[in-house]
Amino acid sequence: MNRIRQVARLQMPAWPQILGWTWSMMAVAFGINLLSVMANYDQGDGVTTTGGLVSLCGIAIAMATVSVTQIFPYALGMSVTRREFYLAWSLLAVVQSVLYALVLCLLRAVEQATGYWGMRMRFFDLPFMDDANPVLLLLGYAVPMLVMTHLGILLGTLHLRWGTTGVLASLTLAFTALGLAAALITWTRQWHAIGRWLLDQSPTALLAGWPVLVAAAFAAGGYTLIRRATA
Amino acid sequence: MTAVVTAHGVTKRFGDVTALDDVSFALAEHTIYGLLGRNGAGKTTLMQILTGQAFASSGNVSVFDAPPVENPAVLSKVCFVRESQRYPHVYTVRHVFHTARRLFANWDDTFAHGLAADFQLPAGRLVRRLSRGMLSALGVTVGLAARAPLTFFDEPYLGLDPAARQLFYDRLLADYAAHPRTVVLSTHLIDEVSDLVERVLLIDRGRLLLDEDADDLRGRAVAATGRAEAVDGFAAGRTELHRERLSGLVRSTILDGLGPHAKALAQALNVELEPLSLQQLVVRLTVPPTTTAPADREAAR
Repeated sequence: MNRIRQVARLQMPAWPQILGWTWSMMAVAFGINLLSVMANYDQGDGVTTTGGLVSLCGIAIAMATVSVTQIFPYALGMSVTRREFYLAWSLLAVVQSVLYALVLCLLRAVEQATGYWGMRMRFFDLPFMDDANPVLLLLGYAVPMLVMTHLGILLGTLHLRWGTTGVLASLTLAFTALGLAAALITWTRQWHAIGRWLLDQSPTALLAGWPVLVAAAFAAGGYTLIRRATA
Repeated sequence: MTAVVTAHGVTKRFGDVTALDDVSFALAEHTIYGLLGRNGAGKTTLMQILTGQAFASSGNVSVFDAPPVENPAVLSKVCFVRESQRYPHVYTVRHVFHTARRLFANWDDTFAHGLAADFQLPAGRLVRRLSRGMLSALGVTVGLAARAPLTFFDEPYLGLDPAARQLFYDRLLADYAAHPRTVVLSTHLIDEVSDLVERVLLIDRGRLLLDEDADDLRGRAVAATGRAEAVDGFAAGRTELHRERLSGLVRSTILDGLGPHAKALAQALNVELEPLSLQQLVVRLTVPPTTTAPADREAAR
């Protein structure tokens, strides 16, 4: 564990950049959303949910991908094993997800305290979190972040193994598979059943349980890929 | 001899290119090796395989009695800073030292900073902004200060001026005397390191051509100069690596030319013998003889 921690510290010099870019891009996304809500603001309207938090997911993916592709070749040169590197980056993903989740909980509290930024704009709060307890709230932010970070790491390991072509080919393949699945579901008229299934899930399962499985699948993929990666 | 590394039938293929072809050898404890060969001979690939950074297509490698791939116990005793080592975008020289201190068990911070001062490495500068020479100096500094029991230097002289290279050789020898270890030095500047290396491994087009003591090698080849018939007489029954004509005389490079009677024979035939330097020998062994016809070579003079 000590070795894994030492390896994880390879990312320390990059933290100011990672945090700086992540949260300044978030601030921009927030500002733009707030402006557009203000532009359409009407006293009689209810609360607007923006879904702008998705941008944080995109940023987390990109940051993790860049971090893996930048630091792995260096780590290998410093006699670090691929296993140590992957475990260290998984550890970083957990730490970062929990930290971001804490910040998001805080921002959500501010959002509610200010009457949704005075504009009834729901940016950080998510609809299905309404009656979540504090632990579930934290998990509800942290686990999806963990999924995104591990997806980013997976894309990074794809890049290590097969370069840009590998990443693009994998994304094309994934989109094709998802698209075909969606078409199949439409064809067989199963959307309603899927909707029912989702509604039947407890908030815990939906926010934390199933996403943990997805993160684990991404992690298994990334670990398998990195074990044969070269710098 | 205690073997630190044993390689058996190591082969590496990239598509239809064979980068290493059935390479077998052993590296002894506390010895300085010169890993010699032309560009693209397979030196870096071999070092990457020995350090678990790349995978052999076939064959066995054992480092400190175990396979090096994904083996933390082995890799903790190994340091290999590649000539083309990539550093993270945001890293400064100082960051490299900080991370190396945490990752290499024997790291000597004082030594590292002393070397950095000697090479005038600016601690606060981003690694990607370093000149070629400074990048080499950084690699050399990490390699020396890590004091790994098995240390590889991959063309450490690139971009370094003669004074800086001498500094490296001096520091390496001094530190090696105080902290003996196994050092593998991959280099083209063979004459520069010929006093430094104790044993020579020569690879050419993926094959191991030589694995010999440097001292033995230095006496193994001679250049015999004299009239054509005289040189023919001397060369008969010996391995001739190369022959060139210069103004009526013939100069022949002969392997294993210095037997007990060779000197007397040469004297009798009026053939002049001079020992070949390590660099000349390596050139003669690795330059394909057919690339330039003798007539062209004469014309080029």
